[in-house]
Amino acid sequence: MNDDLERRLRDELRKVALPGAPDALRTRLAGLPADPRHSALRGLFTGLRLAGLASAAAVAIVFVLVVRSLPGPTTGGPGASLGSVATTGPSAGAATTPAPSATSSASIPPSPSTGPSPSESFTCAGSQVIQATTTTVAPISDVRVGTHPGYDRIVFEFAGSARAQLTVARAFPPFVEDGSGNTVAVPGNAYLSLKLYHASGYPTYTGPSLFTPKYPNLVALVNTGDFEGYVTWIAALRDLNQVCYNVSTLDNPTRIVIDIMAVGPNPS
Amino acid sequence: MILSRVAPTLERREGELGSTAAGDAGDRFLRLANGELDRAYRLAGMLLGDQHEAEDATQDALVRAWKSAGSLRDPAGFQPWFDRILVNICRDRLRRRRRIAFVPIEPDPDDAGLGQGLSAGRNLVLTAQGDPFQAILDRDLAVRAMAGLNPDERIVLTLHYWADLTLEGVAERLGWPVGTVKSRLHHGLNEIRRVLEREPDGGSR
Repeated sequence: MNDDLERRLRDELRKVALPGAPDALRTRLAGLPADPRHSALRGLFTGLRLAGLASAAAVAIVFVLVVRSLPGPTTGGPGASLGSVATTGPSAGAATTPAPSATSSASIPPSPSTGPSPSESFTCAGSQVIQATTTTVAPISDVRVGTHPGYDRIVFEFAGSARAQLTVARAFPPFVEDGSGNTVAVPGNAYLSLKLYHASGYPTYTGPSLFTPKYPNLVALVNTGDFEGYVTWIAALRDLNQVCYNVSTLDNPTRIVIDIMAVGPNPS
Repeated sequence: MILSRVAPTLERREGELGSTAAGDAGDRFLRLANGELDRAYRLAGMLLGDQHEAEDATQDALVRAWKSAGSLRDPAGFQPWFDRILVNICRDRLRRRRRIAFVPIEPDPDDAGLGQGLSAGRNLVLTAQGDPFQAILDRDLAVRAMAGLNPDERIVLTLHYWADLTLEGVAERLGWPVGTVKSRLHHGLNEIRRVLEREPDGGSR
């Protein structure tokens, strides 16, 4: 009886050939820095931590002073500290920001070597725009999703040093595919549109046009258009009430990072 | 085919590095990891039942392994060493998944305004079910029951029956005594048998 079950498990598990590692993994492997002991990774992490501690304190003080000295609630929010990010839309500055305060957002300097920071602040209203660094077309080489404690992450990676423009805003169905005009169904309870301009996914991006991660907040990411320099993705979220995000950029390779706040299973 | 695309990168790196000790260690890691990558990705896929999660987990394992590449003394021990890192990451993911207890998002007929995008969402869900790992895990009742075990038992059974490792090999990758592996295996099989018995057709194929 037991032998039967064991044989059945062995047979069934090995019946079908499985896919090999995706190209993105090979690329990632080949892109690891040459020397593990003095790797850029480790250097980046310790460097960030030290620089973060030192600069966060200094910048936070300045930040608080500046915010206080300005009339009205116009320059709050994480957008102000990110250099290339402009925050627009109704009450964007006064957006409710959860636990992470101005201090943590200030620890993300707009320098090229910025690494991912686990603590950041989110904007929950209006829209955010990242300006393009090209007037032609920035080819998209990779789109990835990931989850981290407190937030889910979407990454757009570009093939060269040029970065496309990105506009993030709340969106509402139905979603229409650019060009064809077909309606695209997206599961989820709340949506963000991620519109890239001066961008193209063809022919550089060969990955999926649909991700359905079962992350705490991000449940789907769908490509609804790649047409005349506009590339549009819709991010579908689980949580109707918490649509808070933060946009930042990274270099080497050039990336745009959208972090979506995720409060976990019990938002209340 | 895929290998040939990576090869130039590795060659270039050899040229750049010359024969420094650190360069050799890094180069050795890249070669070994490159040879192990398909298997590692498949193992993660079988443990997690999701190709995207498998990719994330393998990538996490690569970075973590890379940072501690100095701790690998014997190149012949690369597979168990890397497996151990990968299995740990997969176990964390399985446990977290369990805690979070995902609520399936389904169309809510009362919420017409916001549910508009949901009505035809079935197509997309079908696409997601095209996941090659989930397909295998869904096909047979016994395998489905295996995937429903607790993370530790699922890992033991996958390593033993899919990866074809001996109980000693499984123990090495989990850092457990062989006796613990045996008891988990036994318990897992009993659990599956219980599921099969509950089925009206006795779980026969």
